[in-house]
Amino acid sequence: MKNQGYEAWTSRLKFFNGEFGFGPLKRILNEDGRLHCDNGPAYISPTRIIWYKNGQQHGMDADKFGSILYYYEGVRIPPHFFTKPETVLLEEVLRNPNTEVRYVGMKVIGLEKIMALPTTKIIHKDVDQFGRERILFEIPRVFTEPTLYVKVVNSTAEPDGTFKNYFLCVPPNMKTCLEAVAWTNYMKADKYQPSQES
Amino acid sequence: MKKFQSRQGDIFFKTVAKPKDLKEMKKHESRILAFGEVTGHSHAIRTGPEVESYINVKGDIYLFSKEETVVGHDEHSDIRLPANSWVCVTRQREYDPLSAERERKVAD
Repeated sequence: MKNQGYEAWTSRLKFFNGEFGFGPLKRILNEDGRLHCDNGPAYISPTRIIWYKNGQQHGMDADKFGSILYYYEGVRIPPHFFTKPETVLLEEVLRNPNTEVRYVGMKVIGLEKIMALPTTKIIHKDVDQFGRERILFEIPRVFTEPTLYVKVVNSTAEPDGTFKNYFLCVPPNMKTCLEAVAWTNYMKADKYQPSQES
Repeated sequence: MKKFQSRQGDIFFKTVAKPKDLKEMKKHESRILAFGEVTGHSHAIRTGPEVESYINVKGDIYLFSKEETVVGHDEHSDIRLPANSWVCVTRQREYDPLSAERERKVAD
């Protein structure tokens, strides 16, 4: 037998979809004003289907269809980065197309641990003209062929005084960090001379 | 032409000669040069309205101003672009073994 109540409920959900904003129930910011929570999701919005007829309130509040989102310092991250950090794989982090998400994923795994892996091959290391360390390294199995990444350090300090690391995928024929960084900016190594970086 | 190179996050600025294909480019009406998908922050022109701005099919932006132009961002220090120079603004790229072009623009 069909559940008429359930059908009526789902049809209302479809009817109201897009017409009513789901007000945030929980929105946690850190002291820098970024979405961030150390012990759970930083943003939870419930599904709210409430309307009034003949002076009576009808509808429901439910969290089943709401959003539960995890953030790290303003960067939205996949839930398992927080809920099951031990399952985060280096390959999936490096395959992520977004550099900010990659930064958080690498932080979850730990840069020192990654550099100490027997499968990680360090191609080149240096310090740029502003005194920041760069590492060009190769990781197997991210894609079908071994893949090169260059680790660069953000020029601007975070509010807590630390500097973010970014990991950029570069062509397999790169030999030095300078060559790799210049390539990412459409330049040859001998022509790449930024006077200012922020 | 005064040689100038500068970087603000994933955006690179360098002075270039006046582009020969300027007529084939579109006017870039927005003051936003690039937008971060995950962070919601943008690289944007913060000085007055007297900035000529064009964008080509690859998404590279060419700027010209008679005055110094300031580009700001919520999480990076301002970059000051030289006056009376054409400046090419490119978004950093990275290698992408899965795409036909073997590269893509960096996303943040």
